Amino acid sequence: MAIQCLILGAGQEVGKSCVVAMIGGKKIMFDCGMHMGFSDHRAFPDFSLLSSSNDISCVVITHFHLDHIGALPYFTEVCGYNGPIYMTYPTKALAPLMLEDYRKILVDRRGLEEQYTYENIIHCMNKVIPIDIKQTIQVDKDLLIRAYYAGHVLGAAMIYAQVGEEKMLYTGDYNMTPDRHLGAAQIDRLSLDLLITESTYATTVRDSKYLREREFLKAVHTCVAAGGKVLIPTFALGRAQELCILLDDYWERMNINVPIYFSAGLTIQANMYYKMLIGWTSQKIKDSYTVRNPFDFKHVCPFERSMINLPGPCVLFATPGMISGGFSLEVFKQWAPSDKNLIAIPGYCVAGTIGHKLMSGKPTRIDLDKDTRIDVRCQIHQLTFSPHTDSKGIMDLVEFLSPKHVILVHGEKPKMAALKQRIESELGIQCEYPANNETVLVPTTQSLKISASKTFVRNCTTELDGDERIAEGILVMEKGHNAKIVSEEEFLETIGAERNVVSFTGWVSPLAQ
Amino acid sequence: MSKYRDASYQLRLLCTVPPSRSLLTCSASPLSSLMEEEGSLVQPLTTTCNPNPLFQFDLTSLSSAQALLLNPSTSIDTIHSTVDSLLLSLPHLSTNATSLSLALSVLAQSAPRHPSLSQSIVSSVRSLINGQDRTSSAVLSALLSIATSCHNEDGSSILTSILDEDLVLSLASSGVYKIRSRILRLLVFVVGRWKCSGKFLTDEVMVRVFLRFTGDIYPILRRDAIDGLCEFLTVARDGVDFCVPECCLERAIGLIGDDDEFVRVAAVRMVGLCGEMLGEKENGVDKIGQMDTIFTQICSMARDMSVKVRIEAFNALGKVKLVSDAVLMQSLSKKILGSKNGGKSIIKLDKASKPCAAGAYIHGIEDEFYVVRKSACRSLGIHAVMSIKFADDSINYLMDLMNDDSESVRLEALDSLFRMTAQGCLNVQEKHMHMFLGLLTDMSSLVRHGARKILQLMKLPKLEIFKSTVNELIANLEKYPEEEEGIFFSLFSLGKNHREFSLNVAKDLAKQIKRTSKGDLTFAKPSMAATLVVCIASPLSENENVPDTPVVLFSYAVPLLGRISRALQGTFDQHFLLTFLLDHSNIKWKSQDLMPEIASKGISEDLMQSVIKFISKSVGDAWSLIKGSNGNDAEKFLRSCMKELEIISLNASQAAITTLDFFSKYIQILQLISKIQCKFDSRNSTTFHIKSHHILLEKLDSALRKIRYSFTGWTKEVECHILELSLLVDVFTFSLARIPSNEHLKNLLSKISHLEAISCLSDFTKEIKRLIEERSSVMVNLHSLLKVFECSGLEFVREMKPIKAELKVVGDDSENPLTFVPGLPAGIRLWITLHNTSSTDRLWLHMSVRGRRPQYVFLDLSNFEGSEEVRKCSSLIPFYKTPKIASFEIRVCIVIECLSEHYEVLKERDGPKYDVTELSVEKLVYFSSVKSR
Repeated sequence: MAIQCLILGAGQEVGKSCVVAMIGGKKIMFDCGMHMGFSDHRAFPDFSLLSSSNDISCVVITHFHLDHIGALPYFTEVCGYNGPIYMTYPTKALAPLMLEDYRKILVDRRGLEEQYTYENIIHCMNKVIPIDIKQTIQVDKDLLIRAYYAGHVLGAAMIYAQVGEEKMLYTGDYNMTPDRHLGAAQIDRLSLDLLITESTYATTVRDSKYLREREFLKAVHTCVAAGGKVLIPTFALGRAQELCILLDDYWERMNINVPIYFSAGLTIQANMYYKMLIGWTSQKIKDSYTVRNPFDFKHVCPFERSMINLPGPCVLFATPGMISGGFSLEVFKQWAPSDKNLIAIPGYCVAGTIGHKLMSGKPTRIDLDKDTRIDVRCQIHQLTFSPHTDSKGIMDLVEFLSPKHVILVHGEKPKMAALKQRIESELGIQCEYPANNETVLVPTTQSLKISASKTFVRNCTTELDGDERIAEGILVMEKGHNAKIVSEEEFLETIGAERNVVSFTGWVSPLAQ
Repeated sequence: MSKYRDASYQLRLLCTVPPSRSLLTCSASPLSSLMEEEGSLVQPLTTTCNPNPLFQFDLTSLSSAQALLLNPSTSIDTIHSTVDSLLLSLPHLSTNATSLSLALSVLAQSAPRHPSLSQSIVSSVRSLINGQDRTSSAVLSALLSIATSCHNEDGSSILTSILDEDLVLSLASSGVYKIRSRILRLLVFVVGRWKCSGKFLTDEVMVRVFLRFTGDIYPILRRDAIDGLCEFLTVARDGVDFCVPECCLERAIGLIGDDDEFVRVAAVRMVGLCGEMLGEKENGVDKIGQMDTIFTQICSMARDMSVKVRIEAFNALGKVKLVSDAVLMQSLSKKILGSKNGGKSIIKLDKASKPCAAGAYIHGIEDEFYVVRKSACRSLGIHAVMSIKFADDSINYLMDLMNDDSESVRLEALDSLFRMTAQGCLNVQEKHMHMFLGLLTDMSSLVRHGARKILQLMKLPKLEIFKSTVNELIANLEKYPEEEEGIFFSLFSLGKNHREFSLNVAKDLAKQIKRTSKGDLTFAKPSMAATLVVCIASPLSENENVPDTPVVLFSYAVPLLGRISRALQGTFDQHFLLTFLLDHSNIKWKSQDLMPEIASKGISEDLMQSVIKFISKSVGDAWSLIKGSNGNDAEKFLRSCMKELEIISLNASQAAITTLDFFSKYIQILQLISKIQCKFDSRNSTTFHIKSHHILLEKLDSALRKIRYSFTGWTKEVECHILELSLLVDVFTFSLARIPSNEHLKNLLSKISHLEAISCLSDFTKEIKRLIEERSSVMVNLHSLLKVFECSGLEFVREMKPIKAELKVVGDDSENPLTFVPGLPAGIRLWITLHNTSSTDRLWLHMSVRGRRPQYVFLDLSNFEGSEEVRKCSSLIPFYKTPKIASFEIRVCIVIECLSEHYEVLKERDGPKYDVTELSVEKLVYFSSVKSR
């Protein structure tokens, strides 16, 4: 028997995660994402490779990022998939926000043709069956799936699937080190046949997060202490909450009275969800929740656009990240010319955005367009907070689970090759990193029920001595009969042969010693 | 009880009959009738008419026996008989395992209640131990519960008496889980008391049995076996052979990858323990290599998914000593360190156990659970003290932990840092200081304290860091002035440890002082005091830097003597400090100027007398200010007098306190007089409020009443003076009223005649008398009257006793109020203590609910016990007018009637006829209605 894996997306690349695994005759689709770098047919996985969209037993979505869920409405509403869709409660809550937000940007800003409509999203989300962490779902008679906590973002899960004796785990994106608002990935010891893991940071080993936190806090504190303003351009979900918890805690401990603002919109809506979904956050949040909801930030004040130019220090979280436009750009224009101010950029910035320009060397002026030129005198602080696990974390997880096979997805090819090398040499586990649209066959062990004859069992109990637990018998497999293990005598009886004993005698010369 | 006795008698009868017959007798014996009679009480045996007779307990009879044994009022005889009959019937029950195990559990339950029976129970169950599987497991569990209930040594000696090697081995290799689990638990129990009892197994056999159990298929047995081995190792610590911990270690390492969480926890603990023991023992093996292996093995568990395992892993890491630097450094780095750092041992380890030590501590301090972080932090601190190289690296992480969200982790990190500082292996760098100094303004006082403790020992590398540290400490002081002592001490230690830097700061300060003009108040700030402490630290402690330290600093430090010396308590005597500062300052002084008593002890009696004299003199001076219409000056003067009195009374004796109390009350009166005086002066101006005068006068009047009735044992002079003061009040009142009433006049005259009676007529009194006789207006002559008023007699204030009362409400506080039925009287139980009341005094209990008329209850002194000095009484006082609300509070206090004051007709219908003044502090009594409960 074997598990057959069709990599529809995220094979040797980051984007449009989608893996269809056939395990014990059941087809499961893990994630159904879109590629953010493309706007043509390449944005979606090639669903035509599936013989029929309805021979899939179920679709499981690990988390709400668009590269994991973006193609779902297309698959269900356009391709006509009708089966069950599973995702965790927070994912179900936050996914429509993300999908609709992206659809709007696509249609309103870039003027592109939409692949699915708002109604499609709503209709698709109505079909979703929410699941909880460690909840086991019997999809049908044979197939069961279970979600494990994955960290990464609110509601992210790793999905375990089992049909009979065949077991596999699809990790989605995960994080092995906890941050302030999310815990580390958590999993049981499962004897897996196959592990499909992400490998975004296949070769990076990240240092302690404390160092990054310390530098960030120091930069922000020094800036506001000197009366400057701090701009943190972030996306609405995840990093904003993480950094705000960090700042809010620090403000509290150090008795700082500088206001922290959130630019309105998605962030405030997201904060509301975070407040409700406390059960999916880190232990620290759960502990302090009994006293106070940590997402009710103490030092965050209501914000209005007119406050941008008020005198005095403040910290502002503004969307979108990377200063790619919108409100964060507007604020950047106002604040960049003062050397008192600070722009703290968390995470990765796509080339071409202002964020990228700021990170790749300190420019003194930025030409926005022909008429607008911004003098950049402010300080710039770069933060590398990433919700993905590093290579040490991947190795740790693989070692802990010790599966028989590993497939790497969601990473860059050369780095994946390096990681494959390590997994095979250090852990002795077979590893592959197929490209998109490739199929991998992973052999699985099959267990067979055999019966034992009474004589054999009796022999076992009498012959067993001390720690030695070895019993001798003969396995008989006949066509049309169940496999059976019998004792030597019985076997001789069945085949009607006699026992012959051949004995050898040897002499050992004392000189040989 | 008689019933029990009967039952016991019957049972004994039963026991004397041979068992085979007894059942026959049972059915027809009087016992059965007794059983019927007693119902559920005693029905131990029912019988079946069987050719092969058997004892058969049914559940009812067993539960009756159990009830008898557990009932605390069962007589000893009955218990003995019950137990005997149970024991006698045990052998006959061996075929019926259910009844037998029930009977055994009843016996086991009774053993802890009746220790004397344990031995007999144990010896009679011994024979059953080799029986059927169920029987022996029941016997073993009974034995276990008996043994655990015994006092320390008895338990294991009981077991020793019946167990032997063959038996233990045969039970331990049983195929039945229950038997194995129970014998294992028995062994774990015994091994904990190994030393204090005789041994039925040799150490070797014991270890072998445990080791074998570690391979059991049941995880719980594996865990128990490991616990047993740990117990064995800790108990036998030095006595065991070297190979035992090695053997245990090998097995434990095999088990740390177990599927069961609890087995892993136990295994990790054992690895740590073995590592600790092997580290202590001398043997020929390459110890560092061995320790490295153990350390690496435990490190591999730092990434376990179970929180418990991770906690245990970091605890265990702290136990393994003598680890090579290379492995330690690897545990701080997630990246695999190259051979240039690692040296040989890493390469060797790579082969053996993969680079699993990598970044173990990083993972630990980044863990999601604060307990794990705390444990990691602790063990990090332990290793940091032992290896300088490791300390240099780990300080980065410990400093980073200062930013942790959990306070207990921050405290643990501070503790580790402190130990490192104390061992001299803390090498601070500039980059750490921002985070570390931030702790000085942390929310938690424990964290601030911890940070200061470290600063006291820290060696700072640069002057800038030193200065910023001092500034942060000053910021701490400004934010939390209540921590002044601790902050000053830290500053002192800091100055002492950094002689050059503090000299630098001293010179800066001296320059600053020179620049500013005299009388500049910037130097009154706490930051000034703090900086001075830094500056004088090193000259003071080592007598160095003295010539270099600017003299002016010492003279500036003199006024801060009290604050500095309080911070340096235990290090320097205040007297020494003062002498030192004066010696080096430019203040001219003689050593006899100092009053050593003040410096060392409290205030002596003689000194107290002189202090009191001084105060009475000052109060006299205040009078002259009042008379000279220097209202504001007088008030300032009196206020400072008040403050000083407060300070002095902190150290005063009981007798002196009374006098000081008198003076403070007296000063209050003077303050009021001074105020009134001011008002009268401004009377001619347009802002004249007659109402405020009346309020002030009322206050003055009640203050005077208070002083008159709060003390007894007046000298004649003082009494005259107080009377004259009240005359003065009358004069004020008199002059205020446009047309003085006859009553006022009468009042005045009566007081004058009283003064005449005790024959002390001062000029003031005479003058008033003259004026009244002449019928001239007192008002016109107010000034001249005041001029003749003399403040005399205060020097005679001594040996007064306070009249006071203490009230205690029994069984009431705001959390648990007394109950009442609205509209009905409620009782309040009070403890009353009266001091120095005479039998002629009329005391009342004053009870009032806000917004209502008060209720007075007369206190009959004859109901009190004790002498005039102290009277005590406890009584239930009714409060009649309970309001019709859910809850309310009453203010209760004891008042004294001022009999010599003017009489007011029917002031209260059932209350005092004269004015009253309070003797006790007001107490609140809380009530809540019965319904609202």
